[in-house]
Amino acid sequence: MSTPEQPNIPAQPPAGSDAPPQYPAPGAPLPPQPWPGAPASSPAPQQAPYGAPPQQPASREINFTDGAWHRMHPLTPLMRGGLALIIVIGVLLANFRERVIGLLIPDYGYTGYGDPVDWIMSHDLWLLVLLGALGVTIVLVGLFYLSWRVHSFRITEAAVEVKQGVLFRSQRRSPLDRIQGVNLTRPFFARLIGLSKLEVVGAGSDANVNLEYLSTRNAERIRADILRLASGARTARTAPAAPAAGASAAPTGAAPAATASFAGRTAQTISHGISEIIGGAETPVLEPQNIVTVSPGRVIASQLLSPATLFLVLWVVIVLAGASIATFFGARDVGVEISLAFGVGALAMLVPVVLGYGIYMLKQILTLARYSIALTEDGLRVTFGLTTTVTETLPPGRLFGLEVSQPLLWRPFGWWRIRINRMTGKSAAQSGQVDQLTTLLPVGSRDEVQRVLRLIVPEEVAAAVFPYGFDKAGRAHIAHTPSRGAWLHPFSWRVNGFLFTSGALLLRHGAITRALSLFPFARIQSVSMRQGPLARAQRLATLRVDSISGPVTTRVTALDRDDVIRVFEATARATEGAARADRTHRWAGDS
Amino acid sequence: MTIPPEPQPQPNPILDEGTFPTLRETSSPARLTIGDGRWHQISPRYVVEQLLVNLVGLAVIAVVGYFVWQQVENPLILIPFGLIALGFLLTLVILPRQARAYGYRLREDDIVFRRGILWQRFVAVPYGRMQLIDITHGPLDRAFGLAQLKMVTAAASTGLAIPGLPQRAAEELRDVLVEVAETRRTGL
Repeated sequence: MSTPEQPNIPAQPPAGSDAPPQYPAPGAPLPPQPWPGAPASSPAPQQAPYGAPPQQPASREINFTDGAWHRMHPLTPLMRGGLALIIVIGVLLANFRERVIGLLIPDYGYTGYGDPVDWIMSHDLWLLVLLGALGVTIVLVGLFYLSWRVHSFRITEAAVEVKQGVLFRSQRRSPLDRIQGVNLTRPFFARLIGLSKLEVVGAGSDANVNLEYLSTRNAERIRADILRLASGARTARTAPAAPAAGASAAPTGAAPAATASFAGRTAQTISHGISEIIGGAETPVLEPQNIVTVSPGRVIASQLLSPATLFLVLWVVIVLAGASIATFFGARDVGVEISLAFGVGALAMLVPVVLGYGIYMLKQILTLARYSIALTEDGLRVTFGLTTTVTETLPPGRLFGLEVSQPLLWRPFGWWRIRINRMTGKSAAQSGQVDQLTTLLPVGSRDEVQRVLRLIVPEEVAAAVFPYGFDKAGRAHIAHTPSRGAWLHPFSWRVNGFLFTSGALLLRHGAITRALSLFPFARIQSVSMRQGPLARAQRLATLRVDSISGPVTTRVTALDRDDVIRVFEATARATEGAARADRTHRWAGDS
Repeated sequence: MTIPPEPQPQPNPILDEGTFPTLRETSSPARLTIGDGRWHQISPRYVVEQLLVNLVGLAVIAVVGYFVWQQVENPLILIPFGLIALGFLLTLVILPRQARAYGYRLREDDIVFRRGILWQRFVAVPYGRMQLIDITHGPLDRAFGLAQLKMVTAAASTGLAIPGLPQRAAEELRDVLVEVAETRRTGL
C-alpha cells in the first residue's frame, strides 16, 4: 500500500447525510475535491468529476490521460451489487403480495397466521422493524456510495493505476510497456444502461487492471488512450479515436438528439444499447481485406460438429439400448410394470445430459456469434458475443504461439480453427474465461485462416502454413519421424515433424485431428530436447518448445536424433537474434 | 565477469571449484550432445547429502514397517513398505552416477542445462528470457555448503533448476546471469 492514510475518508459523514450517488446533471458537474493521494508533481492533482455521459457534446469531454484520478461511472455500485440489493427487495415485495392484496381486498381470505409479520404486528413492533430496515438500507447505500467515492483510476505516460476498497484498500499499477492487451466487455445488463468494463491485461496470474464500470463511450476513449500511450506514440492520433466513438452510433440510426431530461437520456441510452446488440458493437474497420468475420450459421454448424455432440449421441445410444434391454428382458422376470418403470428411469438419465448439452451449446453459440477479427494500428481487434459483447485488442508481438487445427468432423467441410498462447492475466480460478481469450478464430475456411495468419504473423511464415503443413506436396520439406519410429505414430508418422522457417518454428502433428503449431522466435522462452533409452536405441529424440501456458501443442516426439540436435541449436540461435531485434513492446512506428 | 568465448578449456576459478571434474554420459553414439565446450558441474558433496537423506528415509520406512508388521501380524502388509524401500535403494544406487550428469554451459547467447544419463534432457535458455533467479538452501544444504539455483522464464515448462552447486558458485552464477540478462533485456 503506497498511499498514506487518507484523512478525509474516515471523516466522511456517515451514510444518509450525504446525497446518494446521482447522475451528474449536464452543466452541473460534481464539485472538484482534493485527493490527498495524488502526487504533488501531478499537473492537476484534483479529483476530476465523472463527466460526459454518452452522447454529450465534445466540449465536455475529459482528458483521461492527464495523470489525475478519475472516478468510475456513478451507476457502478448498481452493477456491482446494488442490483442484488434491488432483487432482494423485489423478492421481499413479491412475498408480501398476498398480504398487500389481503389489506386492499378484505374478502380475499388471506390466512397467513403464524409468520413473523403477524408476530411483529401483534406485538406492535412494526415501527421498530421499519426503522431497522430503513437503517440497514441507509448503511448499505452509504457503503456503496463510499466504495464508489474511493474507486478511481488514473492513466499516466508510464502506467495505468486503479485504487479501490473502503476497509481493505488496494492499489494496483500496471506499466504500460508491459501490457498484453485491452479487453472491452459490454455485459448484457450493463450495456442496457450504457456501461462497459475495461480490462487492461497484464503478464502473469491475476495481473489485470479492471476499470469497471465506465460509460461505453469513455471506455472506448480510454482504450484508445491506453493503446496509444502503450504503443509509444508521443503524439495523439487524430484519426482513429474520435470517428470511432462517434461513428458507432451512426449505423444504428439513433439520432443524437439533445434530449435534456434525465428520463430522455436514459431511454436513449437503453435504445442505443439494444440497437447495439442488433447492429454490432464496434465500428467496422475501413479496409475490408483486413477483416475476417464468421457467419452465425457456420458457428452453429461447427459447434454441433464438436466432440460434445459425439459424446451425446454415444450416451443416447447407450442409454436407449440399456433401457430397451432392461424393459424387454426384465418383463419376463419381474413383471411388465416394474420393468417399464426401470426403462423410464433409465430414460430419465438422459434429461440432465441433454439439458447440459443444450445449455453448453447455447452458451457457445451466444458467445461466438458475430465473431469478427480486424486489423487496427494497435494490433488485432477480436469482437464476439451476442448478448455480452467482448472486444479484445491484441497488440503486435503479444502472440507467444499459435495452432491451426482441424477436428476430424470438420474435414469434409474444410474448416479450421486457430488457437493461440497469450497472456490472459487471469488467475487459475478464472480459467473459464481463458478458453475464450485463447481462441483466435473459432472456425474458418482455409482462405479465412490464411487471411487471419497474414494479419498476425509475417507474410513468409503465413504463406508456409498450408502448403508445407497440410498439403501432400509440401510434406517433403517437413523433417518428420523416420520410418524406424513409425510404430510410435502409426497414423501420423509421415507428418509428425517440424519446419524451421526464417521467422518461426513450425511443429506439425496429428493425423486424425490435424494440427500445426507455430512459434515466433521472438517469443520462444527456451527450447529443450529429451531422449529416453528406448528412443536412443532407435536414434530418436523429442523436441519441445517452452512457451507460456496455453492450448498450443509444444512437443513433437520420435524425431530423428540428428534433426533434433540441429533444430535445437538453430532455434536457440534464432531466438536470441529475434529477441534482440524485437521492438514490439513499443509498437508504434513514429517517434 | 564477462563470458569468455566458447570453448573454455581452462576451468573457471569460482564456478569449477570443488565440483566434479568430468561429465558422466552414456557411450551410445545416438545420445544427445551439443558442440564442444566446457560443462560446469555440481559439487560431489551433493551426493553425500542426498545419500544421507535417502538413508534416513530408508531407516524411517524400515522402523515404521517393522512396527506396523508387529501390530498387524500379516507379512503382506510389508509389501508397500518394501516397494517404498526399493525406491530409496534404487535412488541410492543411481545417485552417484546421476549427480555427475548435471551440467550447465554458459554460451555466448544462452545458458544450456543438461541432466540425466538414461533419460537425457537439454534445455537452452537465452539470457534475455530470464525473469528471475532463485537461490534456495535448506538447513542440510547449508551444513554441506550447497545451494540450488533456479532460473525462471515466462514459460513454466523451462524447468532450469541446478541442485547441489557450491554456495560460492551459485552466487557467482546468479550475479553473472543477472548482469548478462540486464544487457539483453527484451520483452516477454
